Amino acid sequence: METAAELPLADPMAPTPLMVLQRRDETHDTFTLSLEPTEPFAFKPGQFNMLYPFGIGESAISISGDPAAPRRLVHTVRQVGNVTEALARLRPGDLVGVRGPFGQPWPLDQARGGDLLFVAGGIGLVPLRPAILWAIAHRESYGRVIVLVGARTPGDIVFVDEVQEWRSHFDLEVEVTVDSAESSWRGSVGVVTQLLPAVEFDRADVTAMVCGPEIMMRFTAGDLIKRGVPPSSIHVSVERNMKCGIGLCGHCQFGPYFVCRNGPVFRYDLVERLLTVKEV
Amino acid sequence: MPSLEDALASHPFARGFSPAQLRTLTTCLDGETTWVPDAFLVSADGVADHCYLLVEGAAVISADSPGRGRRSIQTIHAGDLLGWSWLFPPHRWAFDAVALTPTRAIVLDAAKLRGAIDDDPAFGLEVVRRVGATVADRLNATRLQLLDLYGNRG
Repeated sequence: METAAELPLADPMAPTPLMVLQRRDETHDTFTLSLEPTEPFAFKPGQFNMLYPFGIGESAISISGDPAAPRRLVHTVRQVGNVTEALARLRPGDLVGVRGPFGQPWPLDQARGGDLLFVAGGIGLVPLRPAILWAIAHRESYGRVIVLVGARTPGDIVFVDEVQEWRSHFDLEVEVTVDSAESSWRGSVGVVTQLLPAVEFDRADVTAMVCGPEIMMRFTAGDLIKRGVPPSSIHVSVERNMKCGIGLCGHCQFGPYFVCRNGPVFRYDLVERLLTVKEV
Repeated sequence: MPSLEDALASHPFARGFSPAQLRTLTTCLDGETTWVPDAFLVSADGVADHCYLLVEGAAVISADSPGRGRRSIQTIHAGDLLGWSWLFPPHRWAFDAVALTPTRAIVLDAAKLRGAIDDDPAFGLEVVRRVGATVADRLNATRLQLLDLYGNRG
């Protein structure tokens, strides 16, 4: 990517208060916050910020916005604990502390000229959305672009309107499946890996970007390798307990890596063994 | 339009059979069939006297639960084998399968196929390997569904 992600903050440990412009519910437990940065906030798809609802605590949250729109900083959050519940209570006009962007991005530059395969499980679509928007905006740089989305139920699909809009692109292949559905659902039922046999891509020249629960990523990577995709062409986004964001505190240590600095996006062949270790 | 024999030979289920084994499989052909959307391909507890190889469309394996309505379990697509109840006693379908789109399948006579499996163990092993692979794939998928993985990533 041409735009280098630079820390917009002089001190990476000092949060900058940014105002909430908009809050939108995505699903029953997931919402999107749009923040107004004081200056254009450059980031690369796949990076995250530390968000700080004042007085509660910090949480690492993937940036879900469009990298081409740096004047609006967008995060999509699932309510799973104290910090994210406090973020859920924010309303337009409120302030939230932001540190970042942190971490290694999806390898969109290295993938140029080849096929792109995005595989998202549940809220794993959040860190992939900026990469998908980048691929759409730079469509001429890639071969086939395939987006596979798995969700728990039809009501749990995040960015559902946008996913439907992506499906209308003639040069994108977008497939959706859910784990469980009433008979009124006319789409696919089953895990996201079951969508793989139905899509065609160049096994020798595809970059797969996979995000979701670790078991889902492991099975997806396994199926891709069985289909002949080299493990080094598969990239996964790993989630650990990120605290400092800059590889100092060690909370997110993952074998020889710090997820906040060396990840969250890793080449699968580098972390495959670590993903099966109970405590790294 | 390819002949039924050609369609069978190019179906993923038939991939890797020797020419002689493919000829044996072909002797079990019982035509092809189509379903319109919402039609039942098979019904739970119905006699599993045919083996279906989907060549077009999609269907959902589902179950009707009194008071809770119909629940969809797994979608199958062109290239898939529809179930394995035809291979194992009591040869009755365990679930319903309902067409989601116009769907077409190659039909094999289950009794003939079981007979060919008994008569030719090498052929039988190849068939059972393919059915086993389908069972394993769907079991893995079902296990992942049961884990309800998409609950806690934020």
